[in-house]
Amino acid sequence: MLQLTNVSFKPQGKLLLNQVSISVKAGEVYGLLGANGAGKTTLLKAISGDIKASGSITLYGKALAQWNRRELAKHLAVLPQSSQLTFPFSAREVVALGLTPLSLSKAQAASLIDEKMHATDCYSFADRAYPSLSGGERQRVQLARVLLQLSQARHSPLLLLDEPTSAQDLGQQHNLLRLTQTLVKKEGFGVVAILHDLNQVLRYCDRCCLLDQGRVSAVDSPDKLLSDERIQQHWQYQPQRVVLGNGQTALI
Amino acid sequence: MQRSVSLCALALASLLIVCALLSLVLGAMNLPVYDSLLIVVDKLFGANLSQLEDYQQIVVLELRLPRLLLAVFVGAILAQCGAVVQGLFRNPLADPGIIGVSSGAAVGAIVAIVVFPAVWGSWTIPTMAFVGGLLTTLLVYGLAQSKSGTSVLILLLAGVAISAFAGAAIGFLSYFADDASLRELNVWQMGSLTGANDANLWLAFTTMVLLMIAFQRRAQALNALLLGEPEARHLGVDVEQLKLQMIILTAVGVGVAVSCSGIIGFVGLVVPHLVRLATGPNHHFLLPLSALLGAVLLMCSDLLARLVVQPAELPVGLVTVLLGAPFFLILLIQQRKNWS
Repeated sequence: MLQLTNVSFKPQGKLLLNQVSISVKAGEVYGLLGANGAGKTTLLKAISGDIKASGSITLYGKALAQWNRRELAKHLAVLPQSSQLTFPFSAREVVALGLTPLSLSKAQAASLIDEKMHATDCYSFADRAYPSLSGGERQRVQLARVLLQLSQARHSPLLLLDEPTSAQDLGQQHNLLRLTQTLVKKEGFGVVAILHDLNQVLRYCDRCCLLDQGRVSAVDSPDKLLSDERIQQHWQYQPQRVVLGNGQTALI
Repeated sequence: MQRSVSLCALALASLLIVCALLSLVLGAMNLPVYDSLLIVVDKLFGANLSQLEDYQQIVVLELRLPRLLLAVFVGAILAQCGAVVQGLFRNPLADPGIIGVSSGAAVGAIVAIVVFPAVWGSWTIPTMAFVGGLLTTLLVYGLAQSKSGTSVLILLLAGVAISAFAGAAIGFLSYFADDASLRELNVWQMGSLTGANDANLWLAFTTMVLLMIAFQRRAQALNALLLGEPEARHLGVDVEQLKLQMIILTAVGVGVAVSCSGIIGFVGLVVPHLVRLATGPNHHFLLPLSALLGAVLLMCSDLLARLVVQPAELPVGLVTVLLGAPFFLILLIQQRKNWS
């Protein structure tokens, strides 16, 4: 669904992305890995259109710049890392912002809002003020908003996650990632996620791309990609491996 | 939520009517209450119910009525512009008066009065007020933008600088102005609704209606903008276009308001804030309710301005500042903890 070809970004003479070519399929969680400064966030911003990179980025064969804004918003959404709101919207109103690119009747909109809030487990605090919610609750509200935004897509939508678990405790992190995985497996979403925790990468990603100084260093499934040598090379850390009961490996 | 919005709307509409009736009846000249109201009915429906003398009719129809209508239109314009500017800057302290837009518009208007009084006929003053307002909005917006969003500190300081400059410009121009212009300059500086006439009533009314429609059409986009500019862009909003539209529209609104009634401060600050307390920041409700409350507030202020020092009167701008400045201080204190 998403195809990047020779994407480069060079603001003020500093090469942040160097000829990046990757492709993401519907129905997979695609992880972006790399040390700090490797270009993960820049790459995600290039995909979301926050920065203008050279090269070609296409979604369903059509260059992002060619898409109609609202059509694109129905197919491509970003879950922000954290969102500050100066004015106290209620959680439900924040979710309703997902209606912005859509044209729905009031009744349809109301039932979809409820549905998405149930799906992300935030219906119980629908009427509380957003600024009074905890980091994890806010993240779920934002996820409901994003799901609403993508609810009228004609093709499988693409969801971008920028360190989605950074503001959350352990349980919340796994809940969010499990929910994302369900969207991918059941509804055919494509997901591109920046994750720092390599164990989460091993557990939830189908494929990942390892970035190094703005360049693609490797693309593979996480268990093949995350060899001891690579981890040592990119993160200067020598991990130890534990084989779990279900045959999966965990890094310590 | 829906219910509290309807309740608010109903309460404000009733308040608007009550205030309008009071404004017709009360004033320096004691007139019979019923007849004062009936004369408006007479005027509207061509009836002949009122028993007011001719000079009394003039007081009601040509002094009090136009003035209260101008208060309604200008109050609604200023309050809506305040709500939009606050949304645009994502800050409750933004107000066309505080960030210097009204001052810029006043300088434009004053240049028009003193330097070239009648180049475009009666359009000269509103046009120059609009240009002054637009230039200051663009300047302030440009200055306050930084990587991490809008800087409140720069916003407020820019307002101080521009207001000081406007004050100096007004002083400078008043040095060269003749007596007639001098009186007008005073009106501009302090804000007054005494200049209500058919021409500026129509101008203010049309502007109010156009702004209501234009703002309401972008209400959802303004809501999305409260999430942040990238987030609004991801939701399919053309953020640059939206910002430009809103800046031009508020400059039109403030320009027209200033050209009709001079600088009337704090209406745009206080009103949206009060409405948000009642119904939350959703622009679908915030904008129309702000228009209503703005109309009520300015009408009450003008009534006060006419009544407290009878038979003389205060400039209404003084009254709104007296009401609004303490409110602004309270807001500042509330916000202080977010600043450091």
